[in-house]
Amino acid sequence: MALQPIVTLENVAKAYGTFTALHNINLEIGAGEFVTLLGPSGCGKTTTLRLIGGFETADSGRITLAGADVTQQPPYRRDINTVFQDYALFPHMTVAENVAYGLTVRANRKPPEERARRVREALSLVGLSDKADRMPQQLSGGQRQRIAMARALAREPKVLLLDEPLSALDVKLREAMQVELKHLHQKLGITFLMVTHDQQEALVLSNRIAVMKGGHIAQIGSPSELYDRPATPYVADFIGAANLVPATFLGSEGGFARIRMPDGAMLSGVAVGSGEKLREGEAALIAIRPERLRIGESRHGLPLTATVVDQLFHGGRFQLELRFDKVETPVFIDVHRASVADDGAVPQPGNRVPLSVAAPDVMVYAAEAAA
Amino acid sequence: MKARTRQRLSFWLLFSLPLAWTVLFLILPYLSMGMMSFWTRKFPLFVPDFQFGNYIQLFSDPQYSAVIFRTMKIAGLVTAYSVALGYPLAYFLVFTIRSEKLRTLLYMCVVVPLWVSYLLRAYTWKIILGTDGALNSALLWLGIIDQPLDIFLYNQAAMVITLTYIFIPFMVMPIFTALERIPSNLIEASQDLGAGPFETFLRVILPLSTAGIVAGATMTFCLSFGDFVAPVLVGGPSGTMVATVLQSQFGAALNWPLGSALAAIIFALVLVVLQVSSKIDRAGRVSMG
Repeated sequence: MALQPIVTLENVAKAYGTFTALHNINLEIGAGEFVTLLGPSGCGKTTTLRLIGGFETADSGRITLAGADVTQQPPYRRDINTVFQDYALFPHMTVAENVAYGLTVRANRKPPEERARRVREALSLVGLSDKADRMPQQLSGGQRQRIAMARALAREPKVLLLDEPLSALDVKLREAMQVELKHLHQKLGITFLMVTHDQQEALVLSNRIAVMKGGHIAQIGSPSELYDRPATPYVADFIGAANLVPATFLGSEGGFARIRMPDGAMLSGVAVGSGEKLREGEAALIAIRPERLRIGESRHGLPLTATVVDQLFHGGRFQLELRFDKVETPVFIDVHRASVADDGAVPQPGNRVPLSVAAPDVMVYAAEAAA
Repeated sequence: MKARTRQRLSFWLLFSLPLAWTVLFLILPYLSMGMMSFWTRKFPLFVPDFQFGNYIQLFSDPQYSAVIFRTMKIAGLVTAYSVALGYPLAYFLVFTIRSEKLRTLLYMCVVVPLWVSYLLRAYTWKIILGTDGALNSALLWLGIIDQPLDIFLYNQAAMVITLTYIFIPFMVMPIFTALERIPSNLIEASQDLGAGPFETFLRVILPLSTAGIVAGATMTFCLSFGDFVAPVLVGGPSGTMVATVLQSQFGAALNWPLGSALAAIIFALVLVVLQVSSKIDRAGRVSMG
């Protein structure tokens, strides 16, 4: 990585009783990056964040912050601040007092003028300068969220941790706040580490995403890497939508593979997705993004045939549910209304339709890697 | 029957019972107490009258004001000790005990004494502090003293100890509830913002549990203020409290009008305490939402 690492986790493990929340995690976050930990609940993403914040102590391994070992340091000795999931604003203090809190603690008491200036700046950064004298209970959810941001940022931390910062907001507000978060990150240049279960949010905001599963990091990379080259079917399914279809592996040459579909169709030149070595004749799983599948024949693409099972109307597009012959799992593709002459041209249930997909857009995985 | 009439009828049916209850058991007794405090005693009778003699006697005779002040002092001390002992206990239960089961068990241990007769619990201290009590026996056995001491019992200290023991659950319960309601992420947020454990306690936990302290203090103060068992059992002559005097006016002294006047004064004092505590409570109350 070109960037100076600001946070590193080396073989960090954590268990709660018999439940292992984290299995020897290794993670390096560069200064100024926006990294997201993504995964379903119980995957260890929140535990990772809490370990970095200092609210939990690692059973083994090492955590460093700006080069210093902070593994055993309590939260109040770490130059990190957190935006908590339900904001955790002090209900007995005004907005200004909340934001000033981190500047009035004994370890970091700022002179009154500087304190006032930084509170003012932090509040104007989140656009809530006029709410300084309100109590947190008098604010809306979105406003409380911003105050929580302002309170953390007033300390000018090296790293800002965000624990599902937008999950409590409604959809419209969440999208608006995503944009604001991104701008804030660009403007401040400090490192953001966010935890979320919302893959859309992760794709939009992050420089890099770490997809987690069962206490491991399944894959880490840029949003486009994860989307275009998922390492496992799990990642393919978690980020974006993926059509996962069983197939048989026939062999590979120079990173490209040949497979046989259950209906007997042969596909060659497809991408080998996972690192695992597949043997000839072994059961495999192929993943195809819905938007990579096209209706109709194409000279460059691989030909496939499927039957339409259902047609779902989504407003701007139709979603077609298809089945390949001899395959149980449904396959979904989108048909945008702009791409067809009229709605009548969209294939109806029962129709058999020819499909085509570019060979590199088909990714092959070992079947047992599915979960 | 018209709908309006029916509505009015059901309204009165609904409210007549609580209204009757309030009038019969609260308003009438207080009224009769208030009226009797202006009566005159013509031994062995009490004559209806309207004169301030009883109040003048209570305010001019230093004996009565001394008892009232002593009672306030003892109730104040009991409250202070209950906070000093009860708060750390509640804090320990909520924040130090990790196991939910153990916490419930220990909390029950705090509450269970309330099921035991109040008289019995007061009497226990007579046994502990008495001349041939547990404390003296222990000191004799340890060789610290040669003869049993009689300094432990029949004084104000004995009363404060006994009353603190009896009323401390009323302090622990509301503080426990208040502490339990503090979301743990507020404590984490405080530490995240650079405050150590002690600073977090002073600036977040203590302010957010004020309501519990006020509720507990009000209860312990009012309960010990009106107590008359502890003075009789462990108080001795120097430990007379206002309730003892009050009781004797209606009993041995047979001066109901004077007793009523004294009761009216106590009633006014308790009202003042409640008023003050609800003021503090309202100022300190915050919603955790």
